[in-house]
Amino acid sequence: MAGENALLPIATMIHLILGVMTIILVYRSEKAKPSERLAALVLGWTFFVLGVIFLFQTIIDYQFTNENITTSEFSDSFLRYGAGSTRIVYLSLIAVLPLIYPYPVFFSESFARLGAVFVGIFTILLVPLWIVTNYEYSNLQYIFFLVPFLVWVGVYLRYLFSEIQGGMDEDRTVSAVAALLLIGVFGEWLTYWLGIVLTQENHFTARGLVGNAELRDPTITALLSSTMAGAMFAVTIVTLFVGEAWRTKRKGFSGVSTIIFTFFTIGILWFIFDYTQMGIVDSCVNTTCEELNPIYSTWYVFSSEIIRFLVVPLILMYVILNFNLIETGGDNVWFTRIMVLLMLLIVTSSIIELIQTVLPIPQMITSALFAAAVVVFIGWEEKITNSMIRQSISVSDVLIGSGETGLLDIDEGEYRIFSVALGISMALAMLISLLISLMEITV
Amino acid sequence: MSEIVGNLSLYGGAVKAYSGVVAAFLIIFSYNSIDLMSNHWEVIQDATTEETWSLSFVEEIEILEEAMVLQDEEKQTFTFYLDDIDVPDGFLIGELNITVDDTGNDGLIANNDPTNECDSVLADVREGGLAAQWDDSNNTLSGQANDCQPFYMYLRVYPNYDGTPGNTDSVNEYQALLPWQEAGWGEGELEIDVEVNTDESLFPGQGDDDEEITITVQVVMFEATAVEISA
Repeated sequence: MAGENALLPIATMIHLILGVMTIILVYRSEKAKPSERLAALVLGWTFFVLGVIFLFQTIIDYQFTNENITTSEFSDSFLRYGAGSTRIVYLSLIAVLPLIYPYPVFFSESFARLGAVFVGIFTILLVPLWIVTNYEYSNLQYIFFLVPFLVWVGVYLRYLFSEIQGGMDEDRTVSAVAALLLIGVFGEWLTYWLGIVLTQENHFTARGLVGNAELRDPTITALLSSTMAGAMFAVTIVTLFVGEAWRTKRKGFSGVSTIIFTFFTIGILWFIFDYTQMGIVDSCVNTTCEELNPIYSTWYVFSSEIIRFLVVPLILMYVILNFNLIETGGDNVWFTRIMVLLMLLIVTSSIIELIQTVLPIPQMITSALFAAAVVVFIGWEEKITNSMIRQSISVSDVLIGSGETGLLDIDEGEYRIFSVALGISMALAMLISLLISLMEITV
Repeated sequence: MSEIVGNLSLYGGAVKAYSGVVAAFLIIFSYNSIDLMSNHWEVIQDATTEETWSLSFVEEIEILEEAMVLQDEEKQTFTFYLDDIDVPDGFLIGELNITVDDTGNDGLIANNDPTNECDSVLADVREGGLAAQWDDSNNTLSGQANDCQPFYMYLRVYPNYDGTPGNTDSVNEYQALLPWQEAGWGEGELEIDVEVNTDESLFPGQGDDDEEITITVQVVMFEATAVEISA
């Protein structure tokens, strides 16, 4: 295993804090549109569950770096099972969210209840199934990605066309949210698009399977599931790129199009850099696994890891705040400000720490930089928070206003049921993982 | 539900674009799957399935020799520069067989004169100057003789190398040969300290107070080959 990952503990903190604060804010946002409030609740739990996944990864990373655990000890440990089980809860949540937001495809007052049942059933079924089959078929869970891919890409295209061809400018809100959510969920995987399209990424899939063979035997299921997910990611970013290029030609640049163009360009860079390392990548399969070039690894940290750990939560938080998924005014304004500031400070400190790992800048200078950032954030706190929530246009307002959907009436108790069910699902996932790790598998 | 589908398919261009997206997904998924199955899967299986490999060694020998005349009770160091050996490509130094020989004149005299006792020769391989397995239990790093016969010493240079063929379990040929490809062993110089104590003959004029010592170092170089014997 490589050296300790400096971003993992920070990502854990960011996601856990964002998750808890979002969930609290959802319960304090009684005036928000029900479907959006429910979407915020799902996103809040997604943050929290991601935080737990990163917590497991942090501990695993620490244990391996300090040689406290061997691969064989890890193979049947609670750490491995816990991380794997939490991932099932995360992917189930990702499959639920597109059905209600931004376009309520599953328009039902019982959506919260049904969504919770969906997550619960898959948790109970898949957690033990993956453990007893030693995660050899666990990549099948990537099928859950089909829901955001099929729904959000469809919604994005529909509202892109209605904005450009139908002249309905307010529909941009819906397509922008769909695009941001696709980026938020697929994250850094979108930046490998060119490698996927040109099959170069298959060498990495092969390397991954061989490199992990000590833990689990490679299977055709794992191979094809990874390929399926890869195809989804590549098609998604290419679709978003073509769509935004078309929109930019007609309407000019926007923040969302800039983000998409950036991801698209990083994909081209990744392809080139990957190509230079193919000898090392193939070494795992042909001879024996060689370490990747340190500069290449640094590029990975500054692109993929920053996207996964810092950019994705920023994008999802932007969606929550900017598109009125929760109430950001009134009594909640202080909560919102704390959330924004905390997030910015954590991101700043982690970026400074990252820079310090590459450039030999004295700690005194980085401390001064951090202090300067704190001063700027405190001085401009109101402005920064307002810029995060300035658009304040709700997708539900757009859809209801154009008569495309009605107002979903979700009972207050449903939100509680969802949270309780999610809490139980997480507890069950942990309990099953712990008990099986203690019992040991003898089949 | 039909209302939702109707609304989402309101724009023909969007529906066509969406169909294109799904088709692109299926195409990319298909050719990537075909590529993985036809070009990668077999190699992945090979790289993760252990097979038994038969290991054998091809050896080449290089001889280094140095002779020196030592006076009675004189101690000298014989130095052999192994870095100067022309090791063929792919070969590594495996072991050193050292012969210390003083039979040049003593043996002849002793044969003609049974009363002439042989000189005493002591030799010690000095540790450290050469990258080798100094703690190996098979090593013989010192020796002595006073019977006019040559004596032998041994130093294992490459870890566990004894030239014996064997089997090993490994996922591929490269990894099977990996333990036999460590560079650096045998680099440096081999130093052997030699001390002579001469003996006088009972017949005046036939004794000697010096001794010619010849040390021969047989450098065994090897190249490992692996052949798969079972799946």
